[in-house]
Amino acid sequence: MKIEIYDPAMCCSTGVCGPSVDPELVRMQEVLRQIEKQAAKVKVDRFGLSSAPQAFVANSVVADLLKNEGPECLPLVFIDREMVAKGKYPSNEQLQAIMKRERIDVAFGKKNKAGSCCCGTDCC
Amino acid sequence: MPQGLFANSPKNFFFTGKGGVGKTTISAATAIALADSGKRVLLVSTDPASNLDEVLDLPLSAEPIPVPGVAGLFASNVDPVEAAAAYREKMVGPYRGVLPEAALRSMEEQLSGACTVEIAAFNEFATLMGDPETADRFDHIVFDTAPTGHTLRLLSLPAAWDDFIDTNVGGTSCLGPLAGLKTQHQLYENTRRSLGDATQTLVVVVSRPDVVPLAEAARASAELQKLGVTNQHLVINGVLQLTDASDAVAVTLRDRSMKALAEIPQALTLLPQTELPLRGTELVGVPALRGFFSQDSSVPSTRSGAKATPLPASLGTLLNTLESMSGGVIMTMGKGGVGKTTQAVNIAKALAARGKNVHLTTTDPAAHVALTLGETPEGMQISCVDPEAETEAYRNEVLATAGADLDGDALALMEEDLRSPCTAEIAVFRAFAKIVDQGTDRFVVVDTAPTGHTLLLLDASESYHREVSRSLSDIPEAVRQLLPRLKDPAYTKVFLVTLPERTPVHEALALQADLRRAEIEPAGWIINQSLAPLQVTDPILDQRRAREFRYIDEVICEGLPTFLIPWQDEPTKDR
Repeated sequence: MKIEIYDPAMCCSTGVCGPSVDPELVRMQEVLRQIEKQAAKVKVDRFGLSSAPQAFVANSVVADLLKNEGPECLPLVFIDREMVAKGKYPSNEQLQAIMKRERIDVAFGKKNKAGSCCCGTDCC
Repeated sequence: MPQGLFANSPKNFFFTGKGGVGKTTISAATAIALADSGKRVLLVSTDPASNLDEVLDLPLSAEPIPVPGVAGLFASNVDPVEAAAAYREKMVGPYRGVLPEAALRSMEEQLSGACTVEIAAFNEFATLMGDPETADRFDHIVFDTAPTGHTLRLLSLPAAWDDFIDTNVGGTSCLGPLAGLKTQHQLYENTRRSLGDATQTLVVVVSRPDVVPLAEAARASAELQKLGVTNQHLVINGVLQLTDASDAVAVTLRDRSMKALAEIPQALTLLPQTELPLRGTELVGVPALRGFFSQDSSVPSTRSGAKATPLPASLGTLLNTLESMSGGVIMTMGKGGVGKTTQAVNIAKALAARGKNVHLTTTDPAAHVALTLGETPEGMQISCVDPEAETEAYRNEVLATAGADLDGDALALMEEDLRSPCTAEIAVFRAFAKIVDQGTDRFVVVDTAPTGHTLLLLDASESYHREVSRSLSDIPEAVRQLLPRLKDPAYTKVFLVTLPERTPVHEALALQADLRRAEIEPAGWIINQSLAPLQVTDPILDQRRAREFRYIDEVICEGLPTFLIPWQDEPTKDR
């Protein structure tokens, strides 16, 4: 399974550089990290308009939307070439449901409480 | 030539310090001295407001050219703003006519931030230091300006490089424009390592014998130490040798320097030190620079007293104009050390004395304002924006809200991202917005101004937030109102404060351009600490006085209302 995300032009995908932190960006970043960690066969590609414009040209669906609707159509999210979200990021539930169809189970749990295991960098 | 500075000369010299302390002059003089000793030397500036051209009296470009009259010396001037523009064009150019116009604009906007400029500058260092071909051509490379702690830290982020860039998950993290340069990873790594190697690199921290630049020097030194750049040397530039005890200005100036040096920050006392005398002449051109390290600083007096340039109006004229307003925001902007705080205090005090309701706010510790102000006059309110406290509070707020559901790794990464200078700017910016909000029914006098960068960030953020249209994040109302208010000349009056000297004036001009890019038109200029209207007999001060007229004229030529304040006994209180 392949997830492709076409982000708007932004300073950083964590979103902490804006005039206020966008929790959607923080959520998305963490969700993608969990997917990569828990489901090895899912490949995630994330492209920012300002850092990887070639990706926006190479995907004809993205290129057409960008041409007809402008950058407001971003972000665009595809799962196995099927567009699952336009102008917003998919919800956790939506992503879980799509992956379940492929028998991939991913849990987006709450954080591990401090002191449980997070003492080093590679234990969690 | 000072022995200390050149003992065991390493391959790379970096000069750092506040604007106007003499970095360019000293780096040029050092490069000439090294070349004169038979070495092959490259002198390069990566300062966005570089005046290396002016100092060498030679038109420079990014490509090194031989300096006439100095065998073995080559010089180049890398403008990071231009380098960033070139980088931006490299990214955007191929997509002209391919991607729609709006998408290109949005890319360009995003690649216009301070980070891109900073990375572009670092990229130039790295290429010169890490590229074997360049390295082989020269015995020494002298850099006018050192990379900032932020850049160094950014490039040493192992989590970001290894976990994020290499696997391409989470895209770019807070590396912004670095993402496009990831192939340079090895080059950066080499550069960072040689910066930390005492046999390869010496960082020269330059300061004036004055409280504020010394504090700044101590900060820069500590920051570099922390990042492993430990081979440092301190240069105190511009110590007045007293030759005319009847000149009251000279005596006061000398006393002030001696006091600042007696109270030098602890961190700096550990560094090897070189002291250089105050000069009257402008050090321009190779012959003048060659004499720079000679201890003889005596100069013939020029008796400049008869200079006829009409001087700008006094501060009183400005106050009369302001008095006719019912309220609003008055900002003093400028680089550190030019006297922004002192001028903000003077304006606030005068308006209060004229019966106005005034709120004075500053980033200076409250004690300093109180000291400058004396007793708080009736009708005046004082507050203090502490950038560190604001940043800390904002950081905690973000971690508690946006970071609430993150686990150890993700939280650690967010914490690292929050150490970017963007965060500090945003935090101060938000505090600032709240204060500007009060200008509707009184005078708010501020010496903390957001930089052009934050203003552009906010401007861009409007479209940014439109794009992430379902965004849950809220911009506070005061922040939303801020830019329209700052752009309204009836609501906000921005004054550019400068000293009548080359570097501060040129830096303020750059600030003016930044403001105009954010569509804020300055209300005028305040030239502070001028010797021009004073009687001085000390030959060095007399020469400096004569030189001021050129820079005063340069400011007047900008065509904005200009006010001039004579040099005063009191040191500036800027932080």
